[in-house]
Formats: sequence, C-alpha cells, structure tokens
Amino acid sequence: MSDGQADVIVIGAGVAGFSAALSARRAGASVEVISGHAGATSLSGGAWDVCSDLYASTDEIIRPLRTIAEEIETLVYEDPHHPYSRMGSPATALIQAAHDAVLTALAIYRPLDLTSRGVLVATDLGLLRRTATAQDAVLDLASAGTLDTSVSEHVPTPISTGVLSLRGDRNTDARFLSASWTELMSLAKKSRNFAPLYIDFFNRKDDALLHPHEIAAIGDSDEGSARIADLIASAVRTNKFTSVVMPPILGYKRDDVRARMESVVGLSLGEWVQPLAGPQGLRLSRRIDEVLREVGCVRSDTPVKSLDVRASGSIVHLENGTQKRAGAIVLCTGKHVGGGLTMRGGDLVESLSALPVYIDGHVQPLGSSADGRDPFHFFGNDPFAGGPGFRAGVGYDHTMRARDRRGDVAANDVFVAGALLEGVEPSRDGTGLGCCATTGFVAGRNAATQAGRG
Amino acid sequence: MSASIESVPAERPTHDVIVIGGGINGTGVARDCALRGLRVILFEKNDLAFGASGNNSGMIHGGPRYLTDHPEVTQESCRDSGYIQAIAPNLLFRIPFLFPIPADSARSKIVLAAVDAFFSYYDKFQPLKHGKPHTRLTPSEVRRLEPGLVGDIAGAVTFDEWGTDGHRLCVLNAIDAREHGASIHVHHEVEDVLRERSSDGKEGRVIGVVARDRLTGARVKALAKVVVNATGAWSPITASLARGAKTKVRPGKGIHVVYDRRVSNYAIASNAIDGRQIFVMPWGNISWIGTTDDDFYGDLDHLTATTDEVRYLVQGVARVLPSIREARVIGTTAGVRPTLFEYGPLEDKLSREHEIVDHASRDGVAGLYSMIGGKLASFRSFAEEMTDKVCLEFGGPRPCSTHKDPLPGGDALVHADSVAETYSVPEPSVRRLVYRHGTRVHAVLARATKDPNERAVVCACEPVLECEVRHACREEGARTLDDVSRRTRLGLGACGAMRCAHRGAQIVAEETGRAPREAHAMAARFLMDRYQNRAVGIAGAQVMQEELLASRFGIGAGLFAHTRRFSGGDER
Repeated sequence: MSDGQADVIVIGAGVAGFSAALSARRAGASVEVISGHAGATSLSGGAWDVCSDLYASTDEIIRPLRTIAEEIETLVYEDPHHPYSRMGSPATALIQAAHDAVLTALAIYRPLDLTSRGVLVATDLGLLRRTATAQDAVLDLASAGTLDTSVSEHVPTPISTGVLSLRGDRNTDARFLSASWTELMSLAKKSRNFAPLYIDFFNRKDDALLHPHEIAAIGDSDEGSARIADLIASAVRTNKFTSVVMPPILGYKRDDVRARMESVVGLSLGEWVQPLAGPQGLRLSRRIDEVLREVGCVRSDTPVKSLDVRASGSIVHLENGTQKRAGAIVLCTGKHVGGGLTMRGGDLVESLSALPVYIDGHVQPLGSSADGRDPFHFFGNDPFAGGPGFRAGVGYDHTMRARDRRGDVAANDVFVAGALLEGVEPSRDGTGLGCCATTGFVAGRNAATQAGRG
Repeated sequence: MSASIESVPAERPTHDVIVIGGGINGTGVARDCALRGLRVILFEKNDLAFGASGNNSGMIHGGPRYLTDHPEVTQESCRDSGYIQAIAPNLLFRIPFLFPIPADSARSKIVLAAVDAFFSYYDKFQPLKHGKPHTRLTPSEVRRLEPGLVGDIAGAVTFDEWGTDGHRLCVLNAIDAREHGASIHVHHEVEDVLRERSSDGKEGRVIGVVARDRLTGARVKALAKVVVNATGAWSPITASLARGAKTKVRPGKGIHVVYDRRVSNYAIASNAIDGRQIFVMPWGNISWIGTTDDDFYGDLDHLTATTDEVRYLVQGVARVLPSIREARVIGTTAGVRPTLFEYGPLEDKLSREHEIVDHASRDGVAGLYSMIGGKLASFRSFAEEMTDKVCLEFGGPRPCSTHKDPLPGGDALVHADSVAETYSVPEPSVRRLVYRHGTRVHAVLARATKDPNERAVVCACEPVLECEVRHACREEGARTLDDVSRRTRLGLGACGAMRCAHRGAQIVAEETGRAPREAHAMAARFLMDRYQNRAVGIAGAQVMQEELLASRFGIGAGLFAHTRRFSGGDER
C-alpha cells in the first residue's frame, strides 16, 4: 500500500503478535508491529506448552501415556470453545505448521514433534513438568544422561544429576530441590538421583541482592561465563554426575553461553524452568525483537489509545493523536496480564475497542465484588483451576476475525489471536505459548490475504 | 482407642490444670496459672490465636463505649491497658483516632459539643493507660490532617488508643507459660473430657482429657484436677464433651478488610449505612477497615468473609473516605466473638463483658470452668479472675503477678538500628523483629550469625527473615506454614504470598521433618487460603495478579498438577 501505510498492523509483540507478524510477512504483506509494555510472554519460563495432560499424576508426568498429538485430539473433543476446536482444519496440522515456522525463526527452542511425548523439565519450585518443547538452555530430564523413558522398571545404575544452587540465594535451595526431584522420580519408580551442589557465586556484599536476570546477564560476558563455568567445574570434579541442572543463569543476551560452558565443564548443563520475571522470558522477548527486525517488520512503540472497528475500514488511534489504517489489523494484546482485557466499572471489557467479551460461546457481562456480584462466580473457587473470567475473551470465527455482539464478523479487517481469544487461558489450560503461536500464525496469514497479499 | 493413648499412670494427675483453647483467654490463664506455680497443660485444636484472638482489630482500648453506663468498666479497661503496656512495651503502638462530625444538620454543633464533653470525661481515665488527652479540631485542621476526608465537616475530636498484634500477644503468653513449666500443644483437639465414675456408674468430677494430634493422629491423655474451657465461640461444643455441662454464647461474626498500604494518617471512625460505627485504621504498613457484627450459625473452623460483608464495610468507609474504593484489597480476616448470650437485643447492643461458669454449681460437673465472653483489651484481668478461682481448688489464694512480670522480650526497649548494624541485617526487617520479639530479638538473630544463609529475606513484603521462620518452628511451636504466618506475618503482605509460600513451606517442612511433597502441598494450600481470603474483596486490575498467580504456580511450575495427588486429609 502507499504512503508508508502497512498492509497489516499487529498490536502486541508477544508470541501471538510475533507469529502473526511472521506469517503475514511470509505471505508477502508489509507489517507494522505496535508494542507497549511487557506482557505474559516476557514473564514466561523456558517451557513452551502446546497441549498438556492437566490430569496427569506424578508418574504420568514423568512417563507420559500419550503423545502431544493425542492430547490435542482429546482437547478438541472435550472443549468446543478452545481455539484448537474452532480453527477448522485439523488442529494438529495447523499447530505443526505454525511451530515449524515460529520455532525455526526463534532458533532458541527445540523443534516441536507432535508425535513425541515432549520434554521433561524441572521447575524452580522443585517440581517436574512435561512440556511440548523447551528452550535449548533448559535441561531435558527425559533425554539428558539418557534417562530411559520406556516403561521398564529397572535402570541398572541410577543416573545422577547435580542440582546447582548459588549459596545464599533466597529463592531456591539445592538441598530441597534435589530431595524433591529425587522423591518425585522415586514415586514414578524411576531411579534417578539428584544431589545438591553449591557454588560461591555471590562473593561481593551486595551480590545476593541481584535479580535473576542480572545474574543471567553475568553469563553473557565471556569473562562471566568463564567464571561460572570454572566454579561449576571445580564443584562437580569429585562427583560422578551425568548432568547438572541449574537456575536460569546461562545468559539471556546471547545464545551460545550453554555450549561454551559445557565445553569447560564437560557435562550436559541446563537450566530449570522459572516462569515469571526470569531471564528465560527475557531471552524469548529478545529473540522476538531480533527476528521481527530481521524479517523486515516496522516497529512502533507509541501506545495505542483505541481501535475503531468499522466495516468501512478500521482505524487505530495512537496516544500521540495520530491515526493509522491498514489492510488488516491483528489484535494480540493478551488477556489480563497484557491488558487486552480489563475490568472497567465492575465489568470485563476489551480494552482498545468496543468488541464484546464472550464467555463459553456467549456475550456475557461479568462483574466483580465492586458491584456486589460474588467474585467466586468470576474467578472460581480455585485459583489454579480458573473460572469464567479467565476463559473470557474476544469472540472470533474460524478465520480469527473478531465477532460483534450478534455473533457476526465485526469487521472484515479485524483479527484476534493469542490469549485475548475467548475460550483459551494459556496460563491454566496447558496450551500455553503453543496456542498463541498457532492462532497468531493463522490470524496473520488471513490478515495478509485480507490486505490483498498472500 | 485406649491402646493408642500415651501411657500415663491412670490414678495420679499429670498436671494441676488443663486449659483447652489457645486464644488470648487460654494462653492468658495458662500463663497466670504457671506463674503462680501450678502445673499447666494447654491444648489448642488449631493454632494459637486461630479464632477471634487473632482476627480482631488488635486494639488494647480503654472501653469508651462503657463510659456512660458503666464507668467502672472503662476504668478497669484503662488500668489493664496500662498493665499490658508495662509487660509488653514492644508489642503496643499508639493509634490516634479521628472522630469527624459531619455538618449535615442543625444539630451538628451540638453533637460536636457532646462528643467533646464525652471525651473530656474519657480523658480522666487516659493517664491509667498513658493515653494522650483528646483534642477538638476545626474543619480546616481536620482537612489538613486528613486530606482524603470528604463532605462538610463540622469538626472532629481526636482520642488516643493502643494497638497490638493479637497473634503475638497469644504466642508470648504461651511462651511465658511454657518457660514457667506449662506444656503447650497446638493442633491438638480435645476429644473427650474424662470424669470420675462411681460404682453405680454415675459420673463425678472431671479428672482429665484425651486429645488427638490433628497432624499425626497420635492421642495424648492428661489428668488434672481442674479443666478450664477457654474456647471462645467453641465453648458450648467443648463443654458438652463433659456430658452434662452447658454454656451459652451468642457467636457474633466480625470481619475486616485489609489493604496493601496505609490509606489514612489517622484511624477514622465512620458510620455504616445502618448507623453502626465502623473505622479505617492504619496498622503497621497496611490498613484495616472493620468491623461487622452478625449472629453466626455456621462452621467455626472454616470461616470466611463474604462479599456482602466486604461491601457493607467499603460502602460505610467510602462515605467519609471515598478513595477507599480505589485502594487495593489484599485480604480479609474473619472471627467469631464469644459474646455472652442474651436473647433479643441487636448484636451491637450485647455486652462485651465476661463471665466465669463454674460447672460444679450449675451442671454438677465439678472441676470444669468455662470462660465466656471477654475482649482482647481485658484478657489479663479475666485470666487473673479465672486463676484466682482455680487457686482456691489448690489450697487457697496465691498472689498474681501478670500485671508486673514482663512477657518474653518485654523487659526492656530495644533500638532496632543498632541491632541492624550489629548483625548486618536489613533495618526494616529488624524493626519488625524487635516489634515481635522485644529483647528476644538477639535469640532470633543469633541463628543468622551462626549461618549467614538465614539472613535471607524469605517474605519480601513484610519482610521476614529465614532465621525468624526457623525460630518460629523451633521455639514458638509453629508446625505449619499457616502457624508461621500467624507468628511472623509471613505471606500476609501485598503479593498474596506469591513470593514466599514455597520457600516458607520448604523451611517449615525441613524444620518439622516432612517430605518435600508435603512442603509442596503446604505451599499450595497456603496460596489457596490466601486467594480465598482475598478473592471476596478484589476488583478491577487485580484480576491481573490472579492470572500471574496461576501461571506462576499452576501450569507454569507444576505445583497444581502434583499437589492434587499429594494432598488429602485434614492436614493444613
């Protein structure tokens, strides 16, 4: 299009926005990405969920019964409101295609194989979880040190993994973590031992006050990573470990830190997963920024004030008073954390447009305690299981176009993707970043077509 | 059942007095009895200060509400408030109250003059509790002191009260009792009150109790001549264990809403929509609004505030301080007052006075006493009264010293800044440590000197050090993360325990010899409790925090998936 106007405007630069921009760009559209503050992507951990067995017991987490593809089929069967069920063509094919493009471009994740049972990662709470794929820097406990994932009960010699802790770290303690992981493995009848391993990393008075990302940044310098590697090497010297699992300290500004350290230590090294304000989310955000630039997207960080949804061509109003139009607009602003949905006057609304909020297939007003409605109705009784307010989102059809109050397409040029969608709750339903990537990918491709490209 | 009971020689009493209940009355009477040389054992079904003692407004007030009808009650309250200050100087802090009079009618000026006169009278008692005399403020002075107040104000009166931490007051009483020979058992539910049995099968005097450890299932039998039922709102249930003994209370539920910061300079009294007096009160680094008073008929062990109660308080306070609607709710408290039974009057009109029931004369159950009613501010004199009665069963009066013997750590004032420097720990933490532990702060921080890792700040909001968490488990009888939170305020700050639940639970599991999976279950349950506590009051952008909570612990870290299989039973 003319006058520097982009074919497609993507609002939001999390995983959904990234994958929408990527697919629109691949389809030949010019793309402008407008991003505001950090959202859920930069708070994510090193794990990348696509679909999980939420009801797995401890041994099923460690020795999963089914492949990811089989989990997806179950979800599609059980939940008609989840995007995987709404996107039309076989969900598995779309998911695989989207991830082939997105993960290859990001280049810091293991490729996704839907016929596999994913990777087994350790978390900073001392638990284990199964995830579709994980950052290269994260240790896969199912493969590292060749853990036998078949159903055999006997592994001749226990595999021993060192659990590295920075002495004096207030958040994690290797003694507890190793005891907990050993216990979980033994509950699942796997003989795998974890043993604590401390390094005196904090050698200056205020070091202990460093935030996780500041510690990770030390690993980004040649000197810093050499120092950490030396500390680890001398700590593991007397032990017979096959691998070491550590806090996310393998740098986040460059991607070769792990390989460099492994060459010094001589063992497979890997991080545990640390969601919320850890370096792993920052690492992902950095790669998103880099790749968006590489593929030639225009970036803008002027905040969006509102989105005027019109059949005659929707308009993006910016905080600085200017307006933008495009062939198509993709909204990828997240749910509550990104600010895509917000509570206004006790009601849940989409924050930029007048698009209605759907819950379980219906437009439904939902209040909070402010107007006397019982918040448990909104949040649910169980903070981990979620309630209607967390599944709420913008309604959409199979092309990812937003719906209006009557259920019709609100405007041909407005698409939605990611956590903002109705029926998805990435932080709870186990479809995580994978759902954002897939819906973003479909929305971006359709937006490019709408804009006359692709 | 008897096979599993710890073997105790059946005929000889193991103790002199058995106290049931670890609230302020129970711990107060246990301390007093112990100080007077009696052998005491205390059983608490949940934790110290689990009920009304830990969920009230935390005020050691002088009882101005009794001033017009029963000035002698006010006098006694003020004198006792003075005693509590003397024995626990670290634990009390001044709360200046502001009583604004709205200029909404022609009578406003008269009301102001009347209130002024009323507090002039109250001033006569203030010296007993080292309170400052009241002042009368002009509207412009009120605006300057409390800019958030709205509406036409005819003026205001200030008066002075004392605040405290009800949990700590109970814990310190219990520790002092223990140091004077008492044994304190938390999470022990008394299942049976044992009585003498004559040859014809008739039951006589109480001789002891059987209690079950709710965390391990082990049973303990204790034998003593006197059993004191100090279980507050639970007291009818406890008394009924002694077959034939009855007490009557009129349980009145009261809730508070807790905010993440101080929303006002003064505690401000206001009227709710039904004319009842409620208040907003700065307390430490947070604020409370309270309180409600409603007859309660539900399950005393699982008490939560409801949306309606929260709305009632918020609406009432918003009449004078509208900004309260924008403030961030981080939790609620709920407790049940063990008010003396009376049929008919409104909840508010019920007496806050106390009464000792001697079941010998009333129900023919000799040796059993019930402490009914009472309030935090006068716990000491109530305990003294009860102990006087108990002493009569052991050969006559013994002198009481609870009004002059300091509570643990209350023997001198400690300067936080010098302590912070000595141990090189953050000063904000030390201030709170000194508040909670007085001179015993050195015992807590000595741990950190031994192991510098224990200087780590486990709870960043409050902020609680690792050494205090371990100290609470080792020295203060905490057995769960909840118990630690009552003793240290861990997890009660703005983040809803997101940052400290799992590390706190790990430490508690370590200290109490539990497996890692129990630490996970304990953390999950604590987070769940905090959530359910807060959810009734939250609104607006706070929904974001809930989504973060889920991603942090639920799917994100696998806490939920594993703990569903781990947890089970009644264990907290």
